[in-house]
Amino acid sequence: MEVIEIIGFKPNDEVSHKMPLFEMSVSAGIPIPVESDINSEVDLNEFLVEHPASTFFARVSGLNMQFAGIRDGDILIVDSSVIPQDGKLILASINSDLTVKIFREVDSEIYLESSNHKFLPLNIGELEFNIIGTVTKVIHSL
Amino acid sequence: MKVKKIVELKTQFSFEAPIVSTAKNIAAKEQLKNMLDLNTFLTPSPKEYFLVKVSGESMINEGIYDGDILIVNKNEFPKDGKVVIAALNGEMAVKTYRNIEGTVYLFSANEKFLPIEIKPFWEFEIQGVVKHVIHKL
Repeated sequence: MEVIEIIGFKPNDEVSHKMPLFEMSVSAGIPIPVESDINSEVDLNEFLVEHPASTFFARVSGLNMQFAGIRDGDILIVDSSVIPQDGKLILASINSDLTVKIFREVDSEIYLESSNHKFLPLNIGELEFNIIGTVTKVIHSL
Repeated sequence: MKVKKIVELKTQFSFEAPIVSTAKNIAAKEQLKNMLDLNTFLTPSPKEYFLVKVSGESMINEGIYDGDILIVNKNEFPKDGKVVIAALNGEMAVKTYRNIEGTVYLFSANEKFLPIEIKPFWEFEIQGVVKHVIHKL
């Protein structure tokens, strides 16, 4: 059973923290020539988080299989101001348990798709649903 | 490695109300014990790191997709099995570093490409070890 830990977003504004960003093609597996003349510098808090006030993190553990590209221990960046669209990964609560599902909209009916490809209709009376936010990015640590 | 400027930094954020503004959700957010700063978490010592945006699909077997951002530590000594940015005869690549009985090999995540055995006279350098992969959904 997956365990989801919610972590708040608290950027430390006291130190300026710019990282050089390079672009690199790995298409066809053939390395391309080095040309490190220009680069841009980014602050990861700004680069990865579009809406700081509505963003938080969800660390997923206990996954025994990969689901929608998420692996055990990954940290999801979740934005509760982004309205989910069909096929997007969302963080939801079902009967107050947190879960990650794929948001599906079929003929204007909303379903949550789980890792076993079952569609859970959202209009079941006994279940209490909340879509908490849309997963915008996945951080995987190697 | 072809390098070009790809981002314009945003100077102004828009603050929008969450679509789910249940009291429970907000309460949960305020009581959070753990808070995260992405800079500190992903690049604890800024001078040791750089970022690479990859294009191309050839690292899919390593879970690296077109458009992903790699967070690379340039001071870490590579260990067997780590994903590295390697410079080989003046060319850069994302490869899996293997050290098998003292011989260094670079593996591609694509089975179509044979492992490269690093010969002593080659101009070869590990630019850094990939620590995190950030995949945009």
